[in-house]
Amino acid sequence: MLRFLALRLARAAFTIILVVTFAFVVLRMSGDPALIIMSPDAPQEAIEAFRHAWGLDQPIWIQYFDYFGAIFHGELGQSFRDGRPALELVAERIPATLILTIPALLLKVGVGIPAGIHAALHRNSTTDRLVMAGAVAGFTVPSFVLGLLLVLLFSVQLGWLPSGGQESWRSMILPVITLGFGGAGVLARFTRSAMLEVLGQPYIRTASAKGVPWHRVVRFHALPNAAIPTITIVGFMVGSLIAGAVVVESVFSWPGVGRLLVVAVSNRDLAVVQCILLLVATTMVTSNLIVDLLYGVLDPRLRAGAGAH
Amino acid sequence: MSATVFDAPVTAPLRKRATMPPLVVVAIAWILGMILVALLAEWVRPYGITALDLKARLTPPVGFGGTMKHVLGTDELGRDVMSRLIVSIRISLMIAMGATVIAAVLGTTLGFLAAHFRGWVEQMVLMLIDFQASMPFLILALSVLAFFGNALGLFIVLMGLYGWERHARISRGLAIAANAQGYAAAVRQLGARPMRIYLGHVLPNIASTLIVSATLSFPEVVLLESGLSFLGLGVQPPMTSLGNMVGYGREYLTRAPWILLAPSCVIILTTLSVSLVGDWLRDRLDPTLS
Amino acid sequence: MKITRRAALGAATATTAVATLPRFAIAQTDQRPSITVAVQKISNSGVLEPLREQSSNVSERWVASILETPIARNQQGQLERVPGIATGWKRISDTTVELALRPGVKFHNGDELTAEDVAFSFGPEHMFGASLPTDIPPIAKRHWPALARVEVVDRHTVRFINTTLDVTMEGRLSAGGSEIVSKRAWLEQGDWAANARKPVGTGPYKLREFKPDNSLILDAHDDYWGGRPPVKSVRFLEVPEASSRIAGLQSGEFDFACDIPPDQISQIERDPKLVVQGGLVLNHRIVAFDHHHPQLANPLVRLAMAHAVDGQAIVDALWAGRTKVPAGLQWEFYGDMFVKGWAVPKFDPDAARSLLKQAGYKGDEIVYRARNDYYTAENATAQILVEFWKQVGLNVRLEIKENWGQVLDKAGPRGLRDWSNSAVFDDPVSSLVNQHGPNGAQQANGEWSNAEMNTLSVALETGTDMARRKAAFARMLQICERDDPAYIVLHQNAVFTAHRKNSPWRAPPSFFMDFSKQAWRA
Repeated sequence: MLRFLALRLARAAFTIILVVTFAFVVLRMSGDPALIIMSPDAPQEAIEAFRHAWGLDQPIWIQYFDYFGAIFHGELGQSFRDGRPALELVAERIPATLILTIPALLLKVGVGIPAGIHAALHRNSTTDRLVMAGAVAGFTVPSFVLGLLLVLLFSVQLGWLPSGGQESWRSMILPVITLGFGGAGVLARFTRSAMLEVLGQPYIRTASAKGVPWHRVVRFHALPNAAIPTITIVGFMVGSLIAGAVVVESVFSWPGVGRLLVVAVSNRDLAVVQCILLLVATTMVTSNLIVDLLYGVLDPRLRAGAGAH
Repeated sequence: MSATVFDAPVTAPLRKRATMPPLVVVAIAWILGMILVALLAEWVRPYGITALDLKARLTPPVGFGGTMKHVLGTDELGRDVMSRLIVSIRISLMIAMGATVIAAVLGTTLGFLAAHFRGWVEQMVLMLIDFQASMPFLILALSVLAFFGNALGLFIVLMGLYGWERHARISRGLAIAANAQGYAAAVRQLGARPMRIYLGHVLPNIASTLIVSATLSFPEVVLLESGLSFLGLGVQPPMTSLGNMVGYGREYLTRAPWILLAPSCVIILTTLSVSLVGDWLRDRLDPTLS
Repeated sequence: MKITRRAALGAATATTAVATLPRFAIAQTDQRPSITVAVQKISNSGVLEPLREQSSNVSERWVASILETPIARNQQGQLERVPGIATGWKRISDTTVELALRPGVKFHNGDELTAEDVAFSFGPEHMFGASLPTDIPPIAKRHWPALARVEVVDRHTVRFINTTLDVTMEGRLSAGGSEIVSKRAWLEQGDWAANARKPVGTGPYKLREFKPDNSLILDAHDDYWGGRPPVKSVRFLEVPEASSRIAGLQSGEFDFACDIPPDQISQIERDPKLVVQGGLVLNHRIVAFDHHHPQLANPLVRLAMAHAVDGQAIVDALWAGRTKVPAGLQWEFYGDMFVKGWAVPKFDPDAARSLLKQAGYKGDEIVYRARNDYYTAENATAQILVEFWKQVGLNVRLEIKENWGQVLDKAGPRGLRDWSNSAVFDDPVSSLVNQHGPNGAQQANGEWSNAEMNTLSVALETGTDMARRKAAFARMLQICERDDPAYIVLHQNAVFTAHRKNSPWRAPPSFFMDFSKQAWRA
């Protein structure tokens, strides 16, 4: 177990280095923050002064090593835009995002998985067809289209709910539904298919033939095995809690991490983007670690896969 | 539970039901129709996709006050929506199919490699998976647009990078499970080469989940592409795609909804068809279902 | 997290709940409305400092509510100069302007404005010093290229002394970049960064709270020299999506929605409770040339491109006819400096074709870089232009770029690009010289240059004989728009603001969201 954890930590560290390096190269090579933040109409001298102040006039590899050196000292840097610490900027947005993404995740899991199980257990029934039609509708409508349609209906036409902003708990309803709908569809389909697969396995038939009551077969034999692919997907969903609402936050003018990411990326505000990426990567790696551990709990055969063979 | 694992049959019984349900027939017909439209796009489109007529902007479709001149109406520049839709279907199908295939092949291969070799190969694959999942797609898309411009081929490869990690994780997990199951071990003891074991025995056994995963990828790619258009990072004008039409049509949702609804309907119907066919195929391929 | 700030969302007037605490007694009888304004963006730079915030159409919405320039501009007229903090101004000499300051002007912190504050605002701590972020002094220098010093004569008199002759000093005193800040507040708040986030000025509204990329809340400054402001508080909310701004207005959450796409006007006005106002602003959409592009080296090709563009068709189609094709890169607002009778090259495809023939253009590709709707209807305009050029046989390839760095990137062929130019004050120095002259962005980027233009630019900047200046300007237009085209003027920009009819508001001819007494008349 220790060896397993050490290996995972090493892998996580390499992953994060990879993410940070890639983002650094992409952001620094595809746009000049000085020109973007100052606008090209600003005097040339001012643009150069800005570059110099932030070390953007240094060779790129020096900037890279400086940045890395700073990270190892726990220094995440400052925003090019207003000089505030990047971590502070990101941290003040996190609650706003989580308050949307966590309820949305609960919605996805709470609706998608039961719907998928139900559909699988009643295969080819009307409910099955309805659930699957709903699921397909869920993941084929672009979230910004769904969001705008919901706003037109519930805010403009009916006047029941706010169209955006962060005013009260009622402002959360439309964005959470928009975020959760598609994910619930994905989970429903995955769960259904995984369940069907497991239900077709010989050991289920064997258990059933041995006289084990059907509900016990489902609960103790089918569900744990069907959970493996489903948990993988849920793991990714958990991992994207922080930056998974980019489009929805824009449609609903929600001041969360997703919008900060869009603004920071378009400003090439490196420290802020990197700070978000570090958070996302850490969440994703942790979430995948938990998924791996759950694999082991659900299926002892996979536990061997934790270490070398 | 583990005791029953070894009861698995080595060969799968042949499926008895050969007839297709009517819905699947309709779905296949729709998909074939879309492929045909995509192939013949350059011949069947009534107008050029950039040909504009500023005097005939936002003309409604036939049946909503429009004329046969523009069956699906015109967009904000007076361009024929039907023509743009046809060309968009071609481009979006190319992107979605290309990307789905790239993602499925890449993901499954890496997943199998990880399951077979374990050790550091597996760790590398898992690291790539973590990397992919941690890197917001926004930044990947930005890099392609910034460094390579508006090149369709590269865009397809980029979209192929989306979703491979899911295939990889699933195929790895299932292959490890399958390896531990009786049939794979039995075949291995019979002296089969690893390639044959994976392609001939493991793949068919886990194909159903992978197919569902691929049929999920297809709409996801189309959606991702429209999401990128929303952020201004998708297929760029003068090129067009379903996602691009939906993305630019959103401002006209109340004034000229056909600009957005026409491509949206195509997206939904195509995805639905792909899902239906995927489910059906899954049942046919799954040797254990009865 | 401010989710629970208000338990329920009500009508737009509900933001009053957390009004200024010290004025509680007044607040109880305060009948003035509190309003919410949805804007696309509050601040590009993430701060509220006009010297950093260069993008006029973004910050112009709110700057003048907080900070004022010494000489004001008539936002309800034609933006002509009117008394503001300064009640009068006179030339002592060719290089000196004396301002008579209004007594009793109160800053947001309660201090009275004096000549000291004005001198401080143009001094090293605020504009030119080494302690400032290094990009600020060059920007200040752009606004005041030859300012020698600001002299305090007495408590209410101050002199601006230039090193060179400059007829535009009064113009500069009424333009962005010349805002007056409170000396005491600035020094108390400490460094530049703190002040850039919390400016203390004399404007009709004072800052309550600023959350970058999210909201900006202003409260009425009841001691305002121009009288008690008519609105109790103004909340600017950043709503990036146009559809969301419109939806929030329709559902009653917003009182104002800015940056309305012209195509949505008719749709909004179907609602009897809503109205769309607005119109021309002092900004022209242009397409700039890089004359180093092999196909564009010949001025005839550039002139042909101008002749191929039907600006009126763009105005009619994309702007619902609510703007116009201007008389070149100039505005009537210039007054005497406006060159009457000048016009952009006429839409004439035949002339364009024959010019191309004359130039020996063989149909080689010309690259055109645009951004994704950075300007209103930019995408649509760019695609229309490509079609116009195609009509006369020009092979133009549209490249959508994501940021300015990519648009201006010298690597790869650089041909045409989108741009817009503003008139910051009422003289061509503020536009043609500032943008296309020897120190302007187009030449700094190495896109275009012309020796005669550069000589004339200096003459325009330092000349005092108005007749000769005007002749120089006319010649510059001839160079930049005919003889050696630097750009094509497409159309004047316009801005549209939708609001609820019960707000008795009158839109100014600018981006400014003016909530002064003059703009708010019941």
